[in-house]
Amino acid sequence: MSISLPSDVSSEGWRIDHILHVTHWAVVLLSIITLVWLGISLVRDRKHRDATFTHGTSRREKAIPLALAAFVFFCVDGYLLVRSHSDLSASILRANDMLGKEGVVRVQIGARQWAWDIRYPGADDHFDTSDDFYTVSELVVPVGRPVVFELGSSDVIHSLYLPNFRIKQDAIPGRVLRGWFQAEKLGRFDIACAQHCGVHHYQMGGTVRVVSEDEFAAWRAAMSRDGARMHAEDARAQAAESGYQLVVEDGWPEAAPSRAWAWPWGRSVQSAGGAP
Amino acid sequence: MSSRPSWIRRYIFSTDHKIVGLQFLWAGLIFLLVGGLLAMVMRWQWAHPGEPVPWVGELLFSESNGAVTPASYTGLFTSHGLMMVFFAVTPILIGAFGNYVIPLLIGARDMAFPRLNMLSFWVTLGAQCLALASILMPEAPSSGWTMYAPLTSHYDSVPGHGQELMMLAIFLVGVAGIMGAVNYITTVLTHRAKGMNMMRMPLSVWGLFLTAILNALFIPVLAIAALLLLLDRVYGTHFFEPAVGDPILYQHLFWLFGHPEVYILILPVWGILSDLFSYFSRKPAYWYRGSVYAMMAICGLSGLVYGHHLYQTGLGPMLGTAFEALTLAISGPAVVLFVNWLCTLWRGAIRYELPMLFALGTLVVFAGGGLTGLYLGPITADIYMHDTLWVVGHFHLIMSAATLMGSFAAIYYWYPKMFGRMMHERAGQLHFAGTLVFAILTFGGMLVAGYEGQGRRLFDPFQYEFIVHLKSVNQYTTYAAFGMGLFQIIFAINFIGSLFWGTRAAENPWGAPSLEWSTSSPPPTENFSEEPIVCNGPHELGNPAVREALGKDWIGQSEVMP
Repeated sequence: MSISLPSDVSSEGWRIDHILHVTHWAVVLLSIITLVWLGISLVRDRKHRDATFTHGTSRREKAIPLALAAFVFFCVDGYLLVRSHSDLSASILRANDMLGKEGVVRVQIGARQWAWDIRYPGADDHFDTSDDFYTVSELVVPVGRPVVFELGSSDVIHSLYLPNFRIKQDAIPGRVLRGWFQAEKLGRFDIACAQHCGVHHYQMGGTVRVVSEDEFAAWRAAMSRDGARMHAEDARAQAAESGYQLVVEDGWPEAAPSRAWAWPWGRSVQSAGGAP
Repeated sequence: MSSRPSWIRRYIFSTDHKIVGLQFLWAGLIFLLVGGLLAMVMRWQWAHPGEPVPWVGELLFSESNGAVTPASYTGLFTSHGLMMVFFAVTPILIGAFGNYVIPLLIGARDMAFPRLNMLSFWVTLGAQCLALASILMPEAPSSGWTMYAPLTSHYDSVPGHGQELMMLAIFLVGVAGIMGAVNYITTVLTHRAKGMNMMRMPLSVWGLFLTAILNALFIPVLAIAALLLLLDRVYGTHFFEPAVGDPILYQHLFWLFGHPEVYILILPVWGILSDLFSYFSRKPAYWYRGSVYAMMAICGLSGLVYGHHLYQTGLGPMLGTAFEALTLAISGPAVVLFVNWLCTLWRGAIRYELPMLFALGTLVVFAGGGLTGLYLGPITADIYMHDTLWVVGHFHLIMSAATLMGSFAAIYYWYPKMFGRMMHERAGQLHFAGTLVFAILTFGGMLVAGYEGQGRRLFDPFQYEFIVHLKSVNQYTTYAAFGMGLFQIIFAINFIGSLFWGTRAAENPWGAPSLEWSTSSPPPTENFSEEPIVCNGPHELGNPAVREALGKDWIGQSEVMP
């Protein structure tokens, strides 16, 4: 059995895999140093009757811990910091720039106990128009196009977790956070909730369905036509089909479940990790 | 003294730091058992989801034919975390060792405020009883140990009154912690024996002293956060409500305490390890001042890095990067401390006695905990790793494996001082081997599952396609956890049995120079028949001049060179 990350089907996931792999090397190196050092002491020095007397306070002796600390600090930490910072600014925090890209797909994802309400702008590409349509816990995206999501929550804190896309973003009531990804492979992939959000947290799953561009266009056109008629009944049916036990309340999504602060849009939008 | 105090004043409502310390130890060990059993039931659910729990299932979950339900599962992981952190490890490491060891090691007759000390224990015990009551309520606390708002502020998300009892218990244990902290700080600063300057204190005292400072600074933050959350929940205030308050404010408060808490728990262990490595390799601690400064630096940084728990909440990029840089910077002083340990062992005359075995085991699991943390420091890596079992495995290596094995090292080491008897050697070796191997397998199993993406706190992880294949890993991990639990039975028998049948301890069974071994075991009420005058550092071992003059390889801190 080999230990591996879930298959990466995104355009940017390699950045995260890369930093994890670099960390592996650092950890293997530091482990070997530690184990060999410790091992020699433990085997060789058990036979000694008398220890070598030193307080370790000479300049040369102090240099050993300091040099190793400096090595870890500058080489390992330094690399990780610079690398992660450049990945963030070059790509991961670039959701706002992606909005200007040709063929970008925009979705709003509203988390609630215990489902993901997903709103598409419809064929006109504008939200809050009559052809907006919704899906529940199924995110359909075209392959090879950036998808910019705006994430909010109508009750407690959830966390959108797309393991195959290396995406995790908290959904926080009262805030809307923006993020993006781009699918590179066709197929169905898991959506999970990563933040404990109540007793059915473990069932707050869903599916990312990556389809070809043509299929996406056809699907969107069809959904858009029916958008106005898509209401709670359909959502419930869809939920039953997806196999997750969802609690879909009547009147959704205009009057979202139980809480006063409802559908999270209409507030200022931040990019995930803040606006770059 | 004209009249002997009554039995109750001496052994129950005692102001003697040694009795208070032992009371903390017993109370902590009992709750360690409670927290451990909760973990076992939780692990069963991951290995055999939905199947009746053997033996205890019918008793605990009679309505579901002995199987864990989603609601009881949320109660299990919440109670396990809170029990372990606040009501087991804290009382053992800080309450028990802090109390027992600090005055003895600095040559004091008692704590600076003995009554406050006694009160600190009784408030802790009250908090422990409340916590126990809360998990026995029909609806146990179910918010997760972090108790995030607004989940916790609403009864429809976290039902029942167990949650309030637990929050009250945390508030109380916080109050007790502040009492203890004030006491430890004052004692160390003002009650040191003549000649015991700060840089002659054993590193155990340094660890406990710095822990007390962190406690005094950061427990109030937790107490306030818990109080505000309680107000939100019970009286409908809006401190952490969206729109009027801010749910993320709670996370800032919680982790401003929560991250230093890791260091609060591990600093005493670091101090104790530093001393034990010296005593059991018969060499002075390598670069004593370096270790002290490293621990101080980590204390300073500990309050400045908590933001790494909030990476996924939409922290601004500049704030995120600052927290990331500070987080990674902790590895600097941590490496200094760690390398000092390795250098202490190097060319020593290593003696594999029980405290040393556990100290070495702690070193190994602590290294594992530190290295697995490297994957969580960078913001980008954390996007994937956050809230997976990787995080759980990582912090268990430190907050469970390292703190517990460190506690065991301390227990085996000071047991002869506390009770005048030795613990059984063979049984201790068996306990050590079993604990080390199974701890590594248990928390290693969590790391594997987490690396492959398994999220934490999932009642039934295997509904997700990307987790299904991890079922066997989860099962092995569960069996390893059971193994680790079973080996603790050996410890319990050894600990209690040795009280009666242990061989009498020699005056200084380990040949250690620190002051506690210059008095009888167990020490008399006021510790020392006459106040010790300190003339040596805490680690004068293997000094050739001493060997020539005294014919032994160490000189006690209050022993005068002839």
